[in-house]
Amino acid sequence: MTVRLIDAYTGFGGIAPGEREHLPLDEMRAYLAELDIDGALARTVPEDMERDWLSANDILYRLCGEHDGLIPCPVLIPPTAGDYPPEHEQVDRALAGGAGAVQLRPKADNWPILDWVCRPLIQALQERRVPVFLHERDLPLADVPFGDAHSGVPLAAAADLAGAYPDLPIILAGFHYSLMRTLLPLMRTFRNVHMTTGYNFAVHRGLEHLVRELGPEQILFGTGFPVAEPAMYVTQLMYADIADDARAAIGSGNLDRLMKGIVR
Amino acid sequence: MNTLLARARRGEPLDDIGIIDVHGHLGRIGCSAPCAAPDEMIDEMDRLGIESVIVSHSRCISTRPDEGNVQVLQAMRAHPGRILGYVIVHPRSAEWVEGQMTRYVERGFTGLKLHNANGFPYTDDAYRPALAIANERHMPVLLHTWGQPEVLAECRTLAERYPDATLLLAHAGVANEPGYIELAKNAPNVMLDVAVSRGWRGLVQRLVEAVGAHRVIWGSDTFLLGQAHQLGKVLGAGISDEDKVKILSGNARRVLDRVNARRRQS
Repeated sequence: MTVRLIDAYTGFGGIAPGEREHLPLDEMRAYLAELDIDGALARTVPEDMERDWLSANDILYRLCGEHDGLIPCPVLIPPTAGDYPPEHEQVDRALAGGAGAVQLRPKADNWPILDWVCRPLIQALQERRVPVFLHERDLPLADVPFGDAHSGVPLAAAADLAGAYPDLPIILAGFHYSLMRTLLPLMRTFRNVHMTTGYNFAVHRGLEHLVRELGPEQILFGTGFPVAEPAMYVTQLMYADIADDARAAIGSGNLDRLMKGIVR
Repeated sequence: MNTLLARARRGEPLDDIGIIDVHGHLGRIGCSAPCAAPDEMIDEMDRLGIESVIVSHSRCISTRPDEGNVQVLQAMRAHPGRILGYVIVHPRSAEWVEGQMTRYVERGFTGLKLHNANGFPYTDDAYRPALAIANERHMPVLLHTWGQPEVLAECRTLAERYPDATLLLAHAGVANEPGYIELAKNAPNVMLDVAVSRGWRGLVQRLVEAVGAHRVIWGSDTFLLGQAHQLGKVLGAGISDEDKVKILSGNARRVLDRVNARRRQS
């Protein structure tokens, strides 16, 4: 069976401490080709040593623009410290650069998801229906029911955001496989919350359970490259015991729909 | 292209290479994983093309492991040759451990599974009778590990003490990758089981390059982790199809052949 895949959670171009070279774009393109993945929503990763997101975003726009199928996913930051452009300008710049989504990193960039801190940025994103990625490790530790092993479970913060901004598409990434008990009711309660499979959504028949309970619309195929072995998320989807139209929606249809909804 | 990876990309069952999963579970795990029935396990295996799975019961990290052994035995009898069993024990006493191991080995179990979540090291004296039986019968012993140097040291002690048992180190490379590689290089009866949820990119390839494909073995940790998900780390690894078949099938078959050969001798 042929299923078109777009990797919603991958990237290139960053560098981690101890590494001599940044992660080359060609390495990402190589696995996309090997796994017959048509395109990617790409971030700057590894993110560990990146501090200047305006420059990093500009590099991302340029490199993605040079290759068919690559869609940038830049990082946006509340400009309340005066170090980043105003909210609408950041959003305009992202969309002019071809962004298909943006990433917020509250914990890493030192801001909490509190309305009085980030409302103008979130409102600007909601007005344009720009999908927003939140990674588990980047959220503040609003609650920690699972302890240090999983570095906190800040789903309450994501829920607050989803409830306050119902027209803002939110995409959760990097959540531990053990969170199904919380993830499913979150996605059922807030239909603007989505999740990407990459990485670490490894639970037995997890896709099947979500599709049975919620339908496929809120699930996006993603690999978690460069952390995870990308093929794991391909085999997970291709062997899942779900209908072919659900597989197609998860593989690329849902991301296409979200990106078409952006007011450019 | 008709490589194993290309076939998986199309969702085709890989039912012609005799895939054996050496790390499965029955029972509730707790991490939001479903408690599937053995019949569902077989359905999943059929869809992927997996020939057989060796399971232990999740009660190996809980009370009353004997009840878990009973459930595994029932699954083995319902699906002979498809579901094989590891005996689980709690080190309450050497006599009790020996009784459980003897009872279930006589009923056709294939190996022994130990988990250290109970607070006891693998070198605990109460485990000795079960390990001695596994050694005498050339059985696999699946050991939960998470990279801790002290646990790998215990595994090394067991490898030296029980040279005819095959020690399968679960979750190899999840952390302390060099520790696993060093142990496998120094202990010929150790194999590295790559069941890990995160599936670090390149891990399988690095392990194969370090210790050889014949020392790496595929386990999924199903019903906790998905077999479909865990297959991908081997199929996507930068190694030859020949080495992938060793990891997914040939190495486990070699382990089981030793058990069966010993059974025939006795």
